[in-house]
Amino acid sequence: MFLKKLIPLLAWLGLMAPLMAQSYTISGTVTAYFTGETLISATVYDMLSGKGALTNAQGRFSLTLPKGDVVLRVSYVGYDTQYDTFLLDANRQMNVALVSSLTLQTVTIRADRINSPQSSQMSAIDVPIEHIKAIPVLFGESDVLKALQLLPGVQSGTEGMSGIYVRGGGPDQNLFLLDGVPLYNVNHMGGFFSAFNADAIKNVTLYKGSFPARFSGRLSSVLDITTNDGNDKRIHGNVSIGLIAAKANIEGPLFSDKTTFNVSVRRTYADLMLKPTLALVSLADPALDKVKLGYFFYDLNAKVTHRFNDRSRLIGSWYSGDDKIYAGMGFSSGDYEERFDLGYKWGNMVGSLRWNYEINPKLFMNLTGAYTRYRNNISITMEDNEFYDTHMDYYKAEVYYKSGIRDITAKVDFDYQPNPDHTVKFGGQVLHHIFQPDVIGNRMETNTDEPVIDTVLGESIVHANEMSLFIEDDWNISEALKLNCGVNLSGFLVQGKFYPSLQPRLSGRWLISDDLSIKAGYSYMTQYMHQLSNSSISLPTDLWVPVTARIAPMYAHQVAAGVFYNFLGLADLSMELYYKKMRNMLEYRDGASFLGSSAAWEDKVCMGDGWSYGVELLLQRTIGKFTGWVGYTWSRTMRQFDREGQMLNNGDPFPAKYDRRHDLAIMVSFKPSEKFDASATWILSSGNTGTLAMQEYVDPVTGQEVSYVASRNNFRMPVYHRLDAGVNFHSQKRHGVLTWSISVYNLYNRKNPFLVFERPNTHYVLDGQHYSSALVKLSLFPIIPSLSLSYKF
Amino acid sequence: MTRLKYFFFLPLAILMVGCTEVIDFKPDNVEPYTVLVSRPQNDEVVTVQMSRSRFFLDNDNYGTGVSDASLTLTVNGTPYRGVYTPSFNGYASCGYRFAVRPQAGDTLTVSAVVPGTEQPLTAGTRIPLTPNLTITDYVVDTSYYGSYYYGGDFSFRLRFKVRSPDEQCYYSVRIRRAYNGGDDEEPVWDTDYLEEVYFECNDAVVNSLDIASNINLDNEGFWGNEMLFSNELFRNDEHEFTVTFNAWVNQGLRVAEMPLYVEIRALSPELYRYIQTTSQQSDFDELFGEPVQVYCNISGGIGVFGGQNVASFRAPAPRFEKFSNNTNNYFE
Repeated sequence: MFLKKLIPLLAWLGLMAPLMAQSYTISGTVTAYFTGETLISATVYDMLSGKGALTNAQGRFSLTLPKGDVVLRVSYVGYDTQYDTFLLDANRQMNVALVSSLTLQTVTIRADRINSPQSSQMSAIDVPIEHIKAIPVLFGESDVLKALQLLPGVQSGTEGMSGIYVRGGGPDQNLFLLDGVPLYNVNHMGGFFSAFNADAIKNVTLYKGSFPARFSGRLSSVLDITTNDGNDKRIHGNVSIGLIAAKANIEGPLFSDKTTFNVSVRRTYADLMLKPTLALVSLADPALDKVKLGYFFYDLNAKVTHRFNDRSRLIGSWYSGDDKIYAGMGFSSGDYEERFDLGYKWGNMVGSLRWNYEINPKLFMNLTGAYTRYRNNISITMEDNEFYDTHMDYYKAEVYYKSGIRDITAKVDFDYQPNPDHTVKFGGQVLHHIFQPDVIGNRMETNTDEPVIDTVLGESIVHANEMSLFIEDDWNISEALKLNCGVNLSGFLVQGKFYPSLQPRLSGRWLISDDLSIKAGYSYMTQYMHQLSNSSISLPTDLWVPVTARIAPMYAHQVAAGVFYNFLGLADLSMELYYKKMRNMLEYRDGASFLGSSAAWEDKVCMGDGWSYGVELLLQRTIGKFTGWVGYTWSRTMRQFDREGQMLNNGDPFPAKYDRRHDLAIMVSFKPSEKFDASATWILSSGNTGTLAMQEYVDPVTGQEVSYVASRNNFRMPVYHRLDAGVNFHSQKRHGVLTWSISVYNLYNRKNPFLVFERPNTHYVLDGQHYSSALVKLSLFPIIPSLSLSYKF
Repeated sequence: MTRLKYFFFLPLAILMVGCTEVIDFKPDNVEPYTVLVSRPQNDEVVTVQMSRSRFFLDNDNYGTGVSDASLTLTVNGTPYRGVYTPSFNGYASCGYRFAVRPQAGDTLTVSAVVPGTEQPLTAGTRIPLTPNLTITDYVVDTSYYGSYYYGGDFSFRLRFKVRSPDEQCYYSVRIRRAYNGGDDEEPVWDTDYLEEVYFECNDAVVNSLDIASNINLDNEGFWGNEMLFSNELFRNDEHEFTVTFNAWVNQGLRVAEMPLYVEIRALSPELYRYIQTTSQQSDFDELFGEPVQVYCNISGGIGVFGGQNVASFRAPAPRFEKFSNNTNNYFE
């Protein structure tokens, strides 16, 4: 009912403005000609009036201009620019299909879309999926998060891990949106791979600061990932097989060009290769039965888009990804048989349904309903059967562990462009969170006289509601001055307590010349949930928990300023300074351990503050055979926990675990022809911090050996550096393109530290019979070559 | 095709080669710290132990005592000089005694000048008030499962109630057991197996990570672990503690008396935090967890100078009658 009243009101709002201003609106969609994919952030620009607009996340644009001649230029990097000249004397609907440009098909970072001197947005990076695929990575498996780790302001955690640490924030302070829906666990295989299959992705945008008001819920970053809609012209796809995983992607029209689909699937296959060996083990010992052991992960992305007409589209998308470890073995011996089975499964599932509707040429609506779930289940089953002459005794014991989080989301957002000087976005969302911290069940049954045991232990389910309203305006005050201002009003209701938060956002751009601008921004962010983790490794047992009456929401103020410069259209240089102050952050108390249990978790953490500041430099070349970038970050990230009863480090400030002074990443791509391309990345960064007790003494009262820790994170691991390289050979076949990819991770075999520990009695000095321990680093990944083959048709 | 297998095995082989490497670790300072440890108690002569720490990678160095320090203790402003007395506790530390017995409420400061160090060690504390805890009740339940020949499990519970003053206090509870010796005629508890003691406190704020603290008793009475708590939630109110003992009793048990002493110590905040953190550190075994930072209130050195005030009561011993071979023959 509410929507029925709202839409006419909004329609009136859109129609009244042009009547008063004697202007008309050009609206439509920009797509890729050969695939029909909508293009996000394409530029639609009237060369006569100097007014322009960008396409939104659905590829839609709306440009209101005064009555008169228009020379419209529609451009998108990697595509041929199109021009159209006409007399604008009425509202005009036009859909533009851009043709992929052969000369610009080299991989480029399209920073000119968001991070350009012209845009008012700062602290955001837009990375094309082609670039992510080109970056050589571990086991040759393209990885979105590892590509982002190469950008300034984004740090990796531990060696080989996919987690990201943005401007001094923790890994749980990143909001991962897959087609606008939050995803809670973004890792496979304990963090060595991210959950995002590059084949399914169309667009990746990372916001590190100056957050637009439409985003809320996390302190440090928003990673907005859009998946492919599907080709509306013809069926095509690709298949590939690599060192550890095989992938397939298929997309095309469904029934007609009004409906498209896109399906991508990826699965590791090490467990399948192990099966013959296990079969041999079973054959070798007749007493063994059905031996099974393995690990795999898979993910499935599916999307169906139906276009009712030029103004209305319905999109259904689905993602599911799981990791599974399984083991089992049976044993039988005459009158006795037993069996043991273990299953450990964790992963995400996201389903969403969206309706895009153009209410009028100036007003566009996006209505979304979504469900997301992360679950972590362990089950262990043991069965014993004993056979007697007259009967059989039967025992079965089952232990299971469950944890997870579920969200049900409803949101509506609008794009409203009353005139070329204002692009207004507004809307709201409601999320119902269902937290299931952890439940342990124990069931034992038998056909003997022993009683059946059936117990369930653990934290009860917690329901919470998160809601937010936002409005933002991208406002061209003058040719030189542009402002993006907005506010997000959010609230969180949990256990009868309501936490409201009013979060202002502001960013501005002063265009000194076409190639040079200065930008500045401020944002205030609030976060209502925490991830309890026992280590720096992303484990499936990490638990999401909501804020409580004792644990207040985290919030952060961030200011940033920067200079953006374009060298004659050949390269872009940007420099950003930022300062971020975070309150109510959590750190684990000394010696605290979660080990997958959230029991009494509030007693195991301390609340305190943190701050981070730094400078980020990005030099990137986007044109020519050689492309790439150099990113450098100098930063400092500190924590201070000095509240009564929640002190750490005696209340003194200490560096955060991932406080790194220097982070340098160089990425170079070379594409001399359509048959060959190569790329390399080199990373150099300061080591992570750690806590070492460097002095020891014996307490003479108790006899206990005491290790004295002077301060938290008082030790810095050795410098991290690594070179990765990869080449791709493409050959045109009858129905498609065959690509051989060879990549080498850690080319010069640098033993980077994953973990540092003390190894006793390592050094032996002959003269004085003197022993000493040594610090030893454990390295996970030496030089790792990999090979993959893909066929695109 | 046969060579194809090398394609799969080569990366795995490379992965397994040499994954650890010694770090060339040269910290700025490996010099030992001066350690001062003292727990002054009401009505007891004050003893301060002095030693030097060792660099953690130096395995052959077990620390050394400091015998040439000059110590001054002030009690409510009155200074006393420390007298070096050789240590008899077997640890590499030197004891200094002061001819003063501080009383509850006294304020103490200690200053130690050690030749070769730039600045003196200083610290301060206060002797807490005597625990105003009233033992109002106790119950002893016993149970035993075992046999004469093989021994068995033994357990009993002790309950006692306490009343706390209306102020924030820190306490430690320890259970001591009198050791009555033993021979073949009078069997005793098997000292090879440590006994476990579990504390339960219904609603007290236990300032350790686990509500139930494990305490290992040996024949010396007690060692190491103890239950720490503050009276935050039952201030000026009665509170019941339950202590459950589980023990393995050696074979041949016929009669055993086990008088128990419940010792309640009021702790200064300094000593409370020190005991808490050292206890956490001894329990810490997490590979990826945060190491425990032991509390220190010694300026110019490390260690602790924390006052305490001890009160204890004796609980009657549970008695076990002689049992025959077929009594509760759980193991037979």
